[in-house]
Amino acid sequence: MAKIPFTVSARTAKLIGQENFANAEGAVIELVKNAYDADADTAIIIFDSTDESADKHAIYIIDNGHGMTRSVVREKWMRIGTDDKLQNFTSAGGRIKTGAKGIGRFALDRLGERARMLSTTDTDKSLYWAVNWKDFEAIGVPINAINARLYSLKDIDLERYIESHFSKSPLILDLVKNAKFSTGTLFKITNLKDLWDENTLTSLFDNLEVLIPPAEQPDFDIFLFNVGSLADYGKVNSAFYDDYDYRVSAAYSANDDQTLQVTVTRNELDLEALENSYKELFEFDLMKKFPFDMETMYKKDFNVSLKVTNLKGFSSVNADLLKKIGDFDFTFYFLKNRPTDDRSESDLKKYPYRKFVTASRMAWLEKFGGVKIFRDGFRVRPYGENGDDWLKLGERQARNPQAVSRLGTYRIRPNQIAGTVNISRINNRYFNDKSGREGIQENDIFLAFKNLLIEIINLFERDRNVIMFHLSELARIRFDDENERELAKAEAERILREDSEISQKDAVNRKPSTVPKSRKNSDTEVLLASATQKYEQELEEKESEIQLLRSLASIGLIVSSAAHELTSLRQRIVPRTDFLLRELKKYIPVSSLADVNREDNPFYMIELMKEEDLKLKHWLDYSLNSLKKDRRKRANVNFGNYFENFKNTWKRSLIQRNVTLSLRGTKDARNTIQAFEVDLDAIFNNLLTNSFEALKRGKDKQVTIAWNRVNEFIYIEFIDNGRGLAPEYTSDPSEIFNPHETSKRDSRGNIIGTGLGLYIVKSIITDYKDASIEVVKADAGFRLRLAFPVRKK
Amino acid sequence: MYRLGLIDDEQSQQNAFHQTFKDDFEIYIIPLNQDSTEDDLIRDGIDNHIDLLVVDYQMDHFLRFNGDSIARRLDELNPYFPKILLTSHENDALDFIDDANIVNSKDIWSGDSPSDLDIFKKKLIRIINSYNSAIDEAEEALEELEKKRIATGLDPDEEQRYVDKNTFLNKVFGQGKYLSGTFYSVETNRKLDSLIEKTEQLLNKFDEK
Repeated sequence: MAKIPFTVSARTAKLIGQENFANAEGAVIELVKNAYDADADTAIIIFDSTDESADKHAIYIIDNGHGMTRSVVREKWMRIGTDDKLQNFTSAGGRIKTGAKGIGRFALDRLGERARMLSTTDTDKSLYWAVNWKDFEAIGVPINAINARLYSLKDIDLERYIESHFSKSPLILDLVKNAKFSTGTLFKITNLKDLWDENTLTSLFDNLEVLIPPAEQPDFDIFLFNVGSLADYGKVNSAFYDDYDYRVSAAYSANDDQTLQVTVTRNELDLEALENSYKELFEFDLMKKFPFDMETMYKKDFNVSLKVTNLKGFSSVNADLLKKIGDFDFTFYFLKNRPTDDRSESDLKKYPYRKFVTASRMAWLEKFGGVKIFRDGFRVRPYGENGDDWLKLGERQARNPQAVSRLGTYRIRPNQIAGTVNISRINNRYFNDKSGREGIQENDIFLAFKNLLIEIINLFERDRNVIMFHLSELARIRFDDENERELAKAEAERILREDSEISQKDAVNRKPSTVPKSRKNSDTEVLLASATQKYEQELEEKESEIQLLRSLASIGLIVSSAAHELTSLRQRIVPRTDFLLRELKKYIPVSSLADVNREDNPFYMIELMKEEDLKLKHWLDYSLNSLKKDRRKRANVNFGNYFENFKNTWKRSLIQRNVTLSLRGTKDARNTIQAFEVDLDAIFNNLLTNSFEALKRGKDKQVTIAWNRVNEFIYIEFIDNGRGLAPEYTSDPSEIFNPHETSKRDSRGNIIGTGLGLYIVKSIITDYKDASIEVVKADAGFRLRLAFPVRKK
Repeated sequence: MYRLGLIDDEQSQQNAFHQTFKDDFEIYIIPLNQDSTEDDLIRDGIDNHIDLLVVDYQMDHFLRFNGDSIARRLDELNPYFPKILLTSHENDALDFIDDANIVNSKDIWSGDSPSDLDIFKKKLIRIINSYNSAIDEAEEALEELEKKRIATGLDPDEEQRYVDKNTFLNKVFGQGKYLSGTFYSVETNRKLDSLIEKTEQLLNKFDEK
């Protein structure tokens, strides 16, 4: 049996290699990573497009690392896809190597057709290596048939090469002199494949800035020069910023106890103002305790060490998972981007904020905002890039949009944070790259890691929330908001009373008032007083609405907490009576009880039980359905299918109430909109229960739901033949959609309905762009027309 | 054993009622249909010799009225007839019923409190007993007063009692059944004649002036 080796064509190998670089910038960055892995403290990227001939335009990437010896070039550099960096993951200087797959040399190909390398080491003479990537294009040539040229140079080393080539660029010469380039590697790439103009160079420079973690990468400098205009770029700055409101630095130790060491630096408040004018803050119970006590506040920063299992939601997380996350550290800055938390000016009185320049913060956040991941000092894309909110901080804030002045679930906004998470290939070996190198695979370990980061952010949120809440409380007590409101109320009442008295007198005397103008309230005063009263009234209404909604929400929560038990009960509830009947009939023939009083006949009693159970099942279906997660997601909803299910859900109630529900419409795909099913449930359940109320005491009770598509809308008519619109609404039927509007009253005329059903219906419909609801005139009964725009393709 | 009449539109509730009270009372479930009126149902109960009427409150999904309407109609016919409103919606019922004392919750047979159910049963018996005693007492008193009226005539207090008892029994058994046919013919006519005469004299004096 012959053993034959696999082989690969040079062209294929090149194409696979190129696949690893999404763009030219990525290729430059890959080569800079090689410089880092070679223990360089300086990397210089030079673009030279001064020559008239485009073929001679060149990119130089130069580092002062340890360079490559002949054997390294032969055995490692020339071996494509070497696993050397996996096996020997630390550099001679102790750095964790950043490249992993041995594909850096294809970065050269990505940038230009020809590549030359000069490498100087301590031990060997300088080496010159050159390759023409066009050689790889030959058809059918195996990879091992392609040769690069490699020879030693006697008279030239790296420093001299740079001096001779950049003699007219003093900035580069100075840099090379200061940074010492006695050893290192230089790549020269020509026959460039991309046009490097001002825009692309600026973009590369900006991206290199965010490549380096802020202030956590002190031993590696990157410079970028364009020979044509040396002053344009220069040293790539790291994202260091000291005008922050909070800085939180957390180090996670995955072994043994899984602990977090957290350092919080508070820099938001003006400590002098706090000391001079807000001392009472520390009289609140919570503000007497660490880390909110006066001493800690004035110290600005404090440390805490805590077990991860003590973090919210982490007590039940698998310990093995926590271990596998591996050590990492996470530093982030919180910067609010407006002068105050609220738009209200009174905030400045409440909180002694340290002053800052909004514009510079916004600009810095624009560039460095977001939470970025750095692996062994280099950026892992796309985390935190271009507003990528991979921790879903925005969604989280939208779910709890609570002001910082209320104690509870204050949440940071994604545009208020700039952070870096430092991971490494050694400590976090379970974080595997996605095959396209664009991010890390979202496995259980990575998800646990994300949650851990969010909880670290929450430590800060809690800290800020406690302080701001107490400052707000202090303001409330001190500025006596309540008292001011009461005074305003009384004043409004006085102004309106006086105004009304004058009007009455005028009416009686049938001539304008003789009260001197100075003693009369001005029109503005009357207007303000009237508005004050209206606001007061609206506030009361809103409060009662919130109270009611809160209690209704609680019912939902109670059902939700018992959902598991209820689901299991729902499954058993109907068959159980059938089982009982079947067994009973084995011992007692039904006919033997024919003469027994119906109410005492066990078979009749079991039938009744079954009926009751069916009703119970119906209500369980109804409650549990609305809790299903998929009903709370936006999805394509076909009205034909929806109303069929709707009718089924209400079947028992319709029978019990002797109501016929007719559906008129089709399941045609055109009758589909994008909606949350739970919204439709809220709309049509409310409408149907309203109809039940209106149909009470009637005969031949009918509800009809008809739907059809006309152009870009689906129109739904909801009709019943009940008692119709109450007379008080006939002049303006749209009033029925106002909150607390109800015609449901007791025999003494007291309101007994909540008046929220149709208000909720209208509010939901308003949330759907271009959707509408209106009362349509009906000869008998009640008729509503709803319009939903169809989903956009 | 007293006989309870029940008006309820749900079969399972009818059965629960029957099973709960059948050992202590005779139960008559009043049949109803969508066209039944308050009068139909009350008449059916009375015709079937019930001692107390138990009415469910919420029935207007099936009938064209609720239990409060039956209670009010019964009040018009005989305000003293024993009745109880039994409901799962006590709060709603209270909004519509004038006499809050007759409203009771169906929770009574939920099994949560057997002692409350016992008390409730005793209460029903007591209500029926009181009603029956009031009738007996009125009938006896009326018989005594009637004898005296014929023999010696009545003083003003006795005359008032005589009218009250008659009114009560007339409401219980129907108008005109109890008051003696001769009661209004002699004394009352005499008083009315005297009143008319005095009124005429007064009017004449006004005219003269």
